[in-house]
Amino acid sequence: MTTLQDPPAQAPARPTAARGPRLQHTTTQALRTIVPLLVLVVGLALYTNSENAAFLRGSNIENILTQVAVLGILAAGQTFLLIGGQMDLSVGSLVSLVGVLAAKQFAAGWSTVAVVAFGLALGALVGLVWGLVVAYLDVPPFILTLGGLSVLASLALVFSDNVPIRVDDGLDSWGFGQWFGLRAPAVMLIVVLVLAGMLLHLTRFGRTTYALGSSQQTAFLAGVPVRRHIVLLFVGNSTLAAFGGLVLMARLAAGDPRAGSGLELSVIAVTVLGGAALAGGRGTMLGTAVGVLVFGTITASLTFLRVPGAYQALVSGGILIIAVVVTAAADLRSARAGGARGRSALRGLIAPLTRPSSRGTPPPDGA
Amino acid sequence: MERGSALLHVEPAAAAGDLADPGFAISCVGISKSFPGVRALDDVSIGLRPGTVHALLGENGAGKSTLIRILTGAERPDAGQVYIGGEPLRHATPVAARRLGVRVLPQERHVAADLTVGHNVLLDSLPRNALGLVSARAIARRAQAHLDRLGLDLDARARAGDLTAAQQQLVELARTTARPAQVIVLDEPTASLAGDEVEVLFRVIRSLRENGTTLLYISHHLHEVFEVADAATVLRNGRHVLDVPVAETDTDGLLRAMFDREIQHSRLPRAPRPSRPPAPVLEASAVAVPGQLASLDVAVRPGEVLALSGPAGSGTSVLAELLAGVREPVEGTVELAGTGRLRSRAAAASAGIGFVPADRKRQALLLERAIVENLQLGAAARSRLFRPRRALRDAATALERGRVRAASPGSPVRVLSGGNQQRVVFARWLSAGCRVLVLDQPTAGVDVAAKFDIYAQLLDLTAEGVAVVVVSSDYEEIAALADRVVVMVGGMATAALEGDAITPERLYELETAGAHEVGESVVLDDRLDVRTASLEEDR
Ligand SMILES: Nc1ncnc2c1ncn2[C@@H]1O[C@H](COP(=O)(O)OP(=O)(O)OP(=O)(O)O)[C@@H](O)[C@H]1O
Ligand SMILES: [Mg+2]
Repeated sequence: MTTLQDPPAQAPARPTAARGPRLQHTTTQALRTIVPLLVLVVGLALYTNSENAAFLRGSNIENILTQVAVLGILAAGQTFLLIGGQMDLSVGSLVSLVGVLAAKQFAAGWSTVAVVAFGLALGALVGLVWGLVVAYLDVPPFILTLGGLSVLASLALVFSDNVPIRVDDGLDSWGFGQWFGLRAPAVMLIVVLVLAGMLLHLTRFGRTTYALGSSQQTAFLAGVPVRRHIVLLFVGNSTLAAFGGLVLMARLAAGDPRAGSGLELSVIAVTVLGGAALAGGRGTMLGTAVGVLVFGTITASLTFLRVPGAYQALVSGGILIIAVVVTAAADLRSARAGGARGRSALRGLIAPLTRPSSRGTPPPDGA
Repeated sequence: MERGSALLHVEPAAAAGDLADPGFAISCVGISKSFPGVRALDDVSIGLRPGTVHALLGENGAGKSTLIRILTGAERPDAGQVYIGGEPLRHATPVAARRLGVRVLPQERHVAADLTVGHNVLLDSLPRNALGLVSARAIARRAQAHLDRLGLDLDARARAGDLTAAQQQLVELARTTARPAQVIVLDEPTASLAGDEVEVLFRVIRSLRENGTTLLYISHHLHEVFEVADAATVLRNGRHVLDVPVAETDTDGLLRAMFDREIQHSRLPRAPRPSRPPAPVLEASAVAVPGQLASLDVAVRPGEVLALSGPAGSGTSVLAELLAGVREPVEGTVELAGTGRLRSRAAAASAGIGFVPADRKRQALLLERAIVENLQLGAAARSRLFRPRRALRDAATALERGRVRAASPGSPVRVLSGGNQQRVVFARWLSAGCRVLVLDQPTAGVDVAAKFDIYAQLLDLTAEGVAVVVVSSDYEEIAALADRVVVMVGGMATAALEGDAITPERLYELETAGAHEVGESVVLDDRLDVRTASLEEDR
């Protein structure tokens, strides 16, 4: 020690340790998005169930999870990208392409292991290309992957000669198996979301992703290997998308070159609905899971309520718009109030939800 | 002046009628404002006489910015009323305040980087022709006339993003004064300005005052207050503790009111240095960056504070970035003992080189993220796993060690006052356990007490053998802190000082002499944009 004076009277801070850990504001922020969505899901489910009591039966819930499995798997990867300030629009096309190529390989007699390994490797390779270009050439990911969307979609059509390729038995257990008493895709969805949630919220990798999306400059100067991290994000996301492609192929028992078209928009929609910001730095895996659930519940409800097909998109789109507007308005109001009033009211609302475990991050326990 | 008597200067109980009278250009009565866990303002009443410069003083977090946000309609008070020219500000919005003639230069810089300087200056009053169209030529002409009138040496057609931080600050000053105003509020306008530019600012302030404008001036540099202000108001912990004509007080009087205790503000004592200097821990050999830095050698030894002194654009920031591995030199090498050449910022950070950049908000912090995440970022994140409970506990300890005043490590770093934000950045590197700490303008916007607190922390680090490199344009700071100084002018090292020879006066002399010597011959391109430059890992 030097001869420095360190008079206790001068220590200006009377900090914090005494009060102990408290809920992070980011958690409160996330819950502000998630709670209304959950209310929406429950409300819609109860209403539909009152019209048609089959809706809340276990088998139907399982059905819904199976329906949204591929969407949810893709959304898990996209959540990482959006939080990290990136985006990948090519995932839908990648799903189609992987499905087509896998189907062809099954037809050519490849073993299941080889097909799966090939599919995942193809995904990783695509992600590597996107990642390297974005990280080292500073190309905006939106434009790059929009181009990728067309290229991969076209390749899927070329390789399949424009028609779905049937798969007689390959990956059947992925599409139709029963694991732990649940349909396989539903199990996969849950496992992926839980693992992704743990990676996002309980590892340095996840925290670094938030940092990257909040301020790339700050992260860089603090010693984050920014470029490597961007590449990893894209590789991980595309690998997960390729996995989604295999699951979808298994469920359809065919490699359909159009199976994934338009999927990227639903993926980004549910991710943003769950609280991820397109500008980066915001979002949670629980939010994404709930976003996927909203999507699944709406779709299923419309069928159960026998809403004519032509109106379904109208209703589901309308619900999405209302959900987004309502959460944004709530956000804005609490920001305006400087937190004081708005936040305490909200805290009252969500306190019961958070009290049992005052953990620092939202629980990553999937759907 | 003694504290007890100083308190008497507060206008008693703020007789509401008085402060609302049109004799004040702007005034407020009984303003209170709370944020979750903080009472930012508590029954504050002040009034500004027309045609005066009024200084608003107080430590970091005292509530200065909050008060001016309320005065200018950007924020609504929980209680109290603002009067502008005797008229109550009913709908507290920036537009309403502006209509009544109030303009503000905020604490954070807001320059549209891709627009021209002229466009930025006239941003809210672009000249239009008969067809309602905007003409680039008219903008340039009008803006240039205004810049010349202010005596600013800026080209209205230049791209704003190419300017230094200080020049951008002057562009904002030009914007704030582009239209006539009754009241102009300047929130820490000198935080990123150096000697000459401060003079320019003062000239502008004086001429505005002569034209009858009222100014509210916030600064942590007390000598500036004595130079330009007529009266001063001091806030402490959100309470209004002193109102005094500047002529009737002195530095110590103001400091006592601000901090309610004695503040030591001279060169700090330090441990005796070993007679034989230890081997350098970080060495730059013949590093050069064409246009920004002429070839030079620098060695940093464990346990010393090396200061790089010079105004913005003198090459000090570039050299700091080279030393921190933020970028690689075009010529020459930077080597860390035991590790070798610095390959990337990430490698340098994990090898133990901490870096505190000049632009706290954009480069050092994740404003929207929690304090805990800001602490455990990059090289300071030790473990691959993130355990929320433990992280919060560690963060609380780090905050205590770094003397950060914060409600909880879970709150966003954005709500901290400037000085406390800076301490969070320090705390990050304290917990990362670095061997070398490179700091660029470490105390910009930090109050006097916190400044010396930070110096003490830095000297503590050197006692543990950490090498500290400080870039600063503040002579007092260098004199208080440095063991050695390299004086830089126009991208060249022109002089060096050691030990007790380091005084503010000597530094000033050397810099002016250096500028004279270096003259026109240097390849000085002071359009040095730290923000874009530092992302170029490879170049
Ligand atoms: N939006 C906000 N939410 C919560 N707390 C806030 C917010 N804005 C300010 N505060 C708190 O109010 C207090 C006063 O802050 P303010 O920014 O007015 O201080 P200041 O005097 O301008 O300090 P500095 O010299 O560091 O700029 C601080 O404790 C700060 O943390
Ligand atoms: Mg302030």
